Amino acid sequence: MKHFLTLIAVIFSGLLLAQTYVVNIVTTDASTDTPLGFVNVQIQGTSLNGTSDESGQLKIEVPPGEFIVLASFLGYETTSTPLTVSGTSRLVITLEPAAQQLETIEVSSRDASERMERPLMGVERLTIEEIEVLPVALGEIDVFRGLQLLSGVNSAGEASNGLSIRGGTVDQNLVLFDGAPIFTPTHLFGLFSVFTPDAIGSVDLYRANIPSRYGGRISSVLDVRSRNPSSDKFKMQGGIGLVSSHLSIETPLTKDKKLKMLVAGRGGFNDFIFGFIERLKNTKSRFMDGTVKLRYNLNEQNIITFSGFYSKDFYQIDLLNRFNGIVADQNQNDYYTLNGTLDWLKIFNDKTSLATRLVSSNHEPKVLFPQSGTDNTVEYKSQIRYKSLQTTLDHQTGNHHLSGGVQLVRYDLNPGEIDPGGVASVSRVKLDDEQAYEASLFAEDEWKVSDKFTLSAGLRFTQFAQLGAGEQRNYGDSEIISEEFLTGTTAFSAGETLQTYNGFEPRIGLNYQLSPKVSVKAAYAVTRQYLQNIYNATTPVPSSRWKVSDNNVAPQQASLISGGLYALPGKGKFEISLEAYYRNIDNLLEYKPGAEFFLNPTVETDLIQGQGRAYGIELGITKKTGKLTGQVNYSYARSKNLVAGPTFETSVNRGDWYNGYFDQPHTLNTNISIDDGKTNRISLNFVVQSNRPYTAPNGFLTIDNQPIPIFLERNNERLPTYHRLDFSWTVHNPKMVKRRWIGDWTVTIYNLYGRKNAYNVYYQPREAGGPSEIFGSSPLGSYRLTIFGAPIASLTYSFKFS
Amino acid sequence: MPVHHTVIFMSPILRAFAFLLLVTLLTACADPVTPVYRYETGFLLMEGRIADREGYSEIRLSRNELLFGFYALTPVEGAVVSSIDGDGQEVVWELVEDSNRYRAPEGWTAEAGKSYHIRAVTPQGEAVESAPELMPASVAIQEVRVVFEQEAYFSTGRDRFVPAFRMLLDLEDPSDEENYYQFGFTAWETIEVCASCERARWRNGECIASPDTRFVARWDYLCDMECWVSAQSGGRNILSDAFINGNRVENIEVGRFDFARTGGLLFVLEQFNITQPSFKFSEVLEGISEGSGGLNAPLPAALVGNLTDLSDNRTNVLGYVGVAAVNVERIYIDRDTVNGTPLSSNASIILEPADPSPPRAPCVGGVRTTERPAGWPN
Repeated sequence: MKHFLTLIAVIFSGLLLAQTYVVNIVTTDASTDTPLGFVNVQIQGTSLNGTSDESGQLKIEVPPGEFIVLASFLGYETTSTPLTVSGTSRLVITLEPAAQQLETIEVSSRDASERMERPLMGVERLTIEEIEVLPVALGEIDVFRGLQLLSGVNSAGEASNGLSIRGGTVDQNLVLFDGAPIFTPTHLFGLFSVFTPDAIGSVDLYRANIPSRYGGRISSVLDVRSRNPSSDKFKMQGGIGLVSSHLSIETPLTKDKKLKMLVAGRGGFNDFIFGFIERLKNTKSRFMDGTVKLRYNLNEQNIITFSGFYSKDFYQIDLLNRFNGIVADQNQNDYYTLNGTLDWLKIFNDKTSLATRLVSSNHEPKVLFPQSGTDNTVEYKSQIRYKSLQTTLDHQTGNHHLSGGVQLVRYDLNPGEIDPGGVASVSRVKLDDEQAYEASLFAEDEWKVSDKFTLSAGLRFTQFAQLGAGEQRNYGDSEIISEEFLTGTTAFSAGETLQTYNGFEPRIGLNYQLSPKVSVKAAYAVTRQYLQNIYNATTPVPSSRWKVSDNNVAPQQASLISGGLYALPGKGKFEISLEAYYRNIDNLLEYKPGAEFFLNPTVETDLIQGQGRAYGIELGITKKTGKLTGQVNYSYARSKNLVAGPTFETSVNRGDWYNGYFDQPHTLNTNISIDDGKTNRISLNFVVQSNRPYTAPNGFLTIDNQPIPIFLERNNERLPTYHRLDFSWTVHNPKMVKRRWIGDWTVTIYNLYGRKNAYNVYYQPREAGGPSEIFGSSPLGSYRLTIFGAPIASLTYSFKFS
Repeated sequence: MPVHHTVIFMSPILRAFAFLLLVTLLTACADPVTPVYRYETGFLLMEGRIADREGYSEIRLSRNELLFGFYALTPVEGAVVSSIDGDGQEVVWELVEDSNRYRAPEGWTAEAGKSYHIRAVTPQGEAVESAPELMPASVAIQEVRVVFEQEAYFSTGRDRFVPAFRMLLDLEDPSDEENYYQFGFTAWETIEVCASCERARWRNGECIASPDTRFVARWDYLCDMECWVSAQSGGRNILSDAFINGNRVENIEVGRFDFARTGGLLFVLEQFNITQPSFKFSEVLEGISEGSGGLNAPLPAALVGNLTDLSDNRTNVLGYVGVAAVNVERIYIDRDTVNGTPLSSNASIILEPADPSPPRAPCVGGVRTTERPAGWPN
């Protein structure tokens, strides 16, 4: 108790005043060398800020010390300038015109005091510099691993296709790259994310107060943006590593430097190594991703940007497998994503702008079965195509920052088809295509009610419609959707509407500053999901099926309430945050026992919908300045589901609440980085957390001489605790000579002490010769699956050239 | 880690693929651990089939219980089991002594086109009935063959490639109906030794230890007559015609049998035509047993079958009883003529040095029979 009171005293002692000096700041426009007025200026690490007047002048009283001064203005690049205060001083800040996206117009929330004032709670921003310093498996810079340092963000298992955010499942997160959704955001079945490392500009994760301009998923929105080409000269950077290599080029394309380009690519083609091992000689593992960004500053009022993204994976393995009567001795997985985004930012004046965006997103996974001895290949494929047009108007008036707009989205899905590819014994099968659109209106007002109180009120309304051509199946009034209750089918032609859903989604947030160093926030958000990923496993594979809502599958809906407390004790070196949340989900999607979705034309007969709830408390301490930086996060979070149907077959866990698939009560996350500022940077990452639940059988029986486990419950046991330590060491520019070519060497060791963390525990009939001292008299053997069972070291060389 | 050549089904392919890729690329592994159970008992377990061929109509009835803290499946004896057809005609099945098996009376088989269900009344008063099923048409087997491979599959338990015989079948799927298949086999071989004793001698049906047998490692006793043992296929081997409808399909693997000994070997390849609900149930079984490994294992499923207890007890009944149209083909091979090496050389037979000759043991018990199996050459 005594220590607790001391801690409170320390936090509030920062309120004591100290001696200050006057700093005269002048803000100028770099292109015209004239004063630039109304620039927002902020002293990083403090709550000191101001706006320069029409002649670019601003006076701020600053205590002695070393600081970074941040300045931003609509239509100009944000700058950060070092400042040393030991007496009255003068500082000239020059800003380069190169307008940014409206959403990032505020000073980067690296600045803790900015986090004090914005009501957006539960938004986390990572810059590429922060991601680059993290140790990662196989030496790959990875957005997903960077996000896992945050409280409430967990990997969904070491080789899984995404993240679990606050106990939610992988497909409840909307993953965007420059506004275009990415349906399979990982390479190598979940080892790392697809975002081209050299092209990432910023990563925003919204999980509490999701702004009203986003919709379509119920857990979170992960908005990854490519960086804008801004260099006036040719620049190149890249890296060579054991698993992949990457290269990017940034250059202006026209003499007037109005059109600039960034091209970045990454590829992994090191599978030739397998050729040296006899048994693996037919194994292939290749992947690549690439980003192209073109930015055209037409004039000061118009900026046009094009962003293209391509990601491709190809894996082949010798796997003797039987597919409904056809024998293949190889198996291939081939999937790609092709996205394009076109943006037009029109700036009317410094208070108003209009952003229009056109997006196209295309994802096609395939599974191939080459027939040995012939040229024939049986091919299974599916496809999802997404198109969107969005317009947002931003207007600042008085204390209100208003924004609003409209978004139109169209989905075209091919749920699956088989192409016999010349094999006589296989028939062609194709499921009917699915089409749908979502039309949304959204509006938001960020209202600075007073100096201490900011309120953000947003509302989103979405009208969803499932369109023909298609067949609608009706199951009468029965609560049970299964073939014996089918009452009729109706055929619809193209353009006709089969089913509609709509709803309002309020998004409210408030922020109250108790003192310059302490603020409290609260948020309430309702979200709906009209597109679901269907998979009868804990996480989906790339070829898992997507489905739009229809008359039998209602959209999932979530409402989230959260609250938080933030403090910047002392000189602002540390940030302390405490957040709590509660989320309720309706129409949660679950699966009937033995559900099979592969090319199933009546997939609704294998789906059941229930309820979910998730709640938790997250505590974090971060230090962002100095030679030693890092953070410690602890969270207690639960996630539970309930599916109680009228029969045994339409219930899960006998109709009682059960642990969700990502229910992990305790998580402690620590990350420390030591940077000597010159050459060496060492980073350590340590995670301890409760592992995911698994299901232990309630007994066994024998059928046709084979022992089979009896599963009456779900998620009734927990895997052993997960813990892992990672290490990385970067040697920057070892020769310490300032040249055009700068190289870094990075050594990474993932899972330093080789902990065998369990990914799953499963039960199978015992094999002859198995370990009887472990299995005892059980007719079923039990196995614990580990993905990374040993330390993995990797060495990467990266370079920058300009 | 070695690559596993595993024979599996379609959607688990998508899952097993990812797992095997990571196994070969990285440090993934599956370690055996002591199985954890949360025992629940008091269930009736019934499984089996009603067939149109003699010898294949059998159901097995047990109850799961905790006996002295150990989970066990105890046979339900003394139940009245009968099959009832669509016209209401009832045929009572007979219990095979000292087992949980109830068989249709000799000479009775189900008929194509008729509907059947099972009714079982237990001594405890439960009345279990299966949902009626219509006997499907039987699809003829076109051709069968047995292929020997010295490195047929890799066994993690034995940590080596195993030589085995693969039984293959060709069929022509009728295009005018939905067909669901299940495959299995019975393998017959002869044995020479019917009893063995360690540190004892065999007299009057049991091993008797005595001071002069203290240092005897093992003595084998030959069978008194020609003795055959049978082995059944385990596991689900199912096929639906969704992607092959109307086509001829070749080289369907019916089963695999390790090459462990020499001597004659008779394979009885069995093809069952089953109903769609029966097929779906088998898919569930496959998913939660053999298909449960890998990265994206299917979610655990309760074995919701087609059985209900209609009595006031309302006991939960797990399992499935369905109809099956059975086709068999027999292949006999002489393993002495196979060009390959068996798993381990035959352990030599050690006879007790008795005068004039040691006693012989009878061919009884379990899977043994003195009846020459049909298809075994004279």
